[in-house]
Amino acid sequence: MFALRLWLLVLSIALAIACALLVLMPRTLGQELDREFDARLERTQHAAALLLRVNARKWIDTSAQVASDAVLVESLDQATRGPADLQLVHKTVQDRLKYFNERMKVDLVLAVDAHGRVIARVGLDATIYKDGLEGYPLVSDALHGLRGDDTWSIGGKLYRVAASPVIQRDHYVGAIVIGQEATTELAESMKGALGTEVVLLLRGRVIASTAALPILDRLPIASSSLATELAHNARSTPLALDGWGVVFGVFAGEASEHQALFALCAPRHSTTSLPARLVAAVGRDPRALPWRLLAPIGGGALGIVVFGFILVSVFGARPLRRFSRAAQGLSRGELQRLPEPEFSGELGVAVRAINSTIERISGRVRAEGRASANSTPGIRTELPTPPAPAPALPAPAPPLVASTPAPTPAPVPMHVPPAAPVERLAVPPAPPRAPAPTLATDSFDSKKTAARAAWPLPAGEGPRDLFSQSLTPLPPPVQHLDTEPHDLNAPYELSAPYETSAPLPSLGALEPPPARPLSTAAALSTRQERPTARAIPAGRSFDEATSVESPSEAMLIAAAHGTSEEIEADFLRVFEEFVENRQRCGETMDGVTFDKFVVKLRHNRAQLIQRYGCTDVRFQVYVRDGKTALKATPIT
Amino acid sequence: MSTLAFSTAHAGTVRGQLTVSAERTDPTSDGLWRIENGILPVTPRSADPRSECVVLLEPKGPAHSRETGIKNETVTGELRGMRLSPAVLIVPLGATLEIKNEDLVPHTMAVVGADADVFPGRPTPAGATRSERPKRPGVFPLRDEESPHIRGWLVVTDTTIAVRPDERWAWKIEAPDGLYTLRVLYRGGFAVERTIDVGAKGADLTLVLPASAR
Repeated sequence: MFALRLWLLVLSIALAIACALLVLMPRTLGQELDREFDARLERTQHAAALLLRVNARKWIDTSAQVASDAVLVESLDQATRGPADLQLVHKTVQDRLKYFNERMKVDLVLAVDAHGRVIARVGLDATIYKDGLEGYPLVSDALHGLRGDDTWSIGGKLYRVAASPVIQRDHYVGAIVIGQEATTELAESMKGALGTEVVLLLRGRVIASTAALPILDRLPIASSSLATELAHNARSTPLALDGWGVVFGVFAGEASEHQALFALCAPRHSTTSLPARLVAAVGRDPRALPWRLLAPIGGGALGIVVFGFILVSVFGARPLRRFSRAAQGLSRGELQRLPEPEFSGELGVAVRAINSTIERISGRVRAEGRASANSTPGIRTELPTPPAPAPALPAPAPPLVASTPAPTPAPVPMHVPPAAPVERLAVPPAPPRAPAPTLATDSFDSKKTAARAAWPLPAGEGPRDLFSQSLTPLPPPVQHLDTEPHDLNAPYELSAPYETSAPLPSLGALEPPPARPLSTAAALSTRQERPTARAIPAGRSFDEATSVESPSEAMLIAAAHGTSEEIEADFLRVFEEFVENRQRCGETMDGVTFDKFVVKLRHNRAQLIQRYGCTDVRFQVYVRDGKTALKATPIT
Repeated sequence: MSTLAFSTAHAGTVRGQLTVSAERTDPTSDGLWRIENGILPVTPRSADPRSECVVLLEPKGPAHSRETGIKNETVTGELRGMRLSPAVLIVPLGATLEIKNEDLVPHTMAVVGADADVFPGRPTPAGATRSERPKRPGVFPLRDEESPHIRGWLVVTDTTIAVRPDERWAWKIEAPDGLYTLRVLYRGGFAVERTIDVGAKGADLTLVLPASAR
């Protein structure tokens, strides 16, 4: 049992851990997924920054190619020197820029002279020129010999620009600036390279997006809340917005002052419970799941179940079955006591308790039996102790009405010693004072038997409870018979057949024979022909059972007066056996005479018949502890 | 050299010489490309860096205000070529600051940060002039809200004495005796800051400026 409890404890702990894992693991896995997701977003942001930087370098190279154009070089040189017709130079330069722009397809191309003055534009503000742009760091750097890139915020639009100096032999004569507006085209290009949705923002509003994301209107607010971080790091840490993961990056350059940002958005993995994930995984593609990986888990679970069954069988079911068989054997009288060595633990305690109870009751019965021993010196009438509990008494039958013909009680299935087979006679009912319960007991004295018969203990009380489990159902006692007293000298006859207002309870397979009137002589003669109608269970001796049944009144009269020669002959036989056994045992016969012996037997016989309502009493001589004793057995 | 200082009965002369370290020609970072062309060497970015340099002498103790008497004074700045010129505007407290927009695009110059009320942002259309009277003394950063690269400094002087270096990067200030804080504003930031004691003998300082202040 300890192992079984330990196993249940371990199993409970394992189940608790499994349940805890089922609850906690999805959260942990979700957190790890979120961290991995954020790391991916950060890497994607870094990749986006590199992508933009590489792309800017391409624009720088393109601007350098344009700046090396001889026409442009010469024209800007003339513009820088001053005397030339500026409008003509403007026209020349603009035409040349248009030519290049047909190949570049950019939104902004302009050429400035060495003073930073715009000579010509193509695209944005194409008609404007002669304005100064030397204040732009990109233009200023280009005029001083540096190629570079920048971002401009002009009129609510974001331009990614690149510039290269225009060199005329040994001096700088101007610069070429080309720019491309950041639109959905740029966002789509970034999406194709990065794999995430791309949103472009400028001055707190969305200027381009690859998709109509549900979080578009929240991105400007989120970016403004991260302004400090963006200004310091030029990027943000990933954040979650309505199930989307978002990371911001800053467009480097002047436009960064206008919050020129790109936002990379990807749907965040939802952190659901493990069962939900399992259902989703199975519902998605069951065949794609690695079911073979579950084989060890299934095998382990099966092993756990088998091990549990073995433990339950070894430590639970089998001991209980043994206990049940032992208890049944005890009830059937096959065992005197339950085998204690076979049981341990709680069952062992229960077995020892039951055995102790049996011993205590048996000891009490023996003590009472000795106390009620025969008062005749040298003669001791003793009833054997029952080895098995008495069967339960059936409920009393409904009272019979005298005028109602009653069926003769059927032979009662009960334990009868084989040496004294008795036949159940259809006799008149016993007096009401003798309820005549039938106790299949082995050993009890006449006084105790009488007491039990007179005051049957209610079910569930007293020592009788212990045996109530093995009581054999008996026919209901015949009570409350409305009969007239008979003259002892007159032939005994039943005045009228009994009738019952209700059928008697069934006695099982044995059907009661029909009642028939009997005379006393007939009854007595019938007793001589007493057949062995009731079989004695095999293996049971005559001493192991004493049956007490309601005797007929004729039998009681005959037993009380002792007029039967047969009885006298039996007494003589018993006396002879008694004397023989005493002599054999070396006991003296002083004070023992046949007359006293017979008187004692008659007295005991009449007493037993009166108390138990039995039809006869059989005396048996036996030797116990080296002394001769008599055993009286009521016979029905 | 323009000097906005004044003389007192007990004044000393503070002289100084500024030395600018080598001009930085390496490409800037901040995620932008700056590549040398490989044909010609890169020339200095600014032809006259003195326009971006101011020496400030601020008294550490209490000093008399000079607001009265200069209310009719006007200091003019100009937006041309997408830049503010001069980049450091020195305005005595009570004087008027005028900013002319000579560009073809509008500008919105303003003091950024918590001192925005000193020179709040108001649009200045192309060709227009905006006049403001700074409300309190101090050194305030200026920025164009439309073109963020246009930056400058607004120095509103009351007890502070501000001078620009001459063509030899030398400067001289007549100041009353006492403890002062000397700061040099150069290319968008304070390049030098130290405490000096101006007495009868005056002081002679040599200061080294980095190529670009932070």
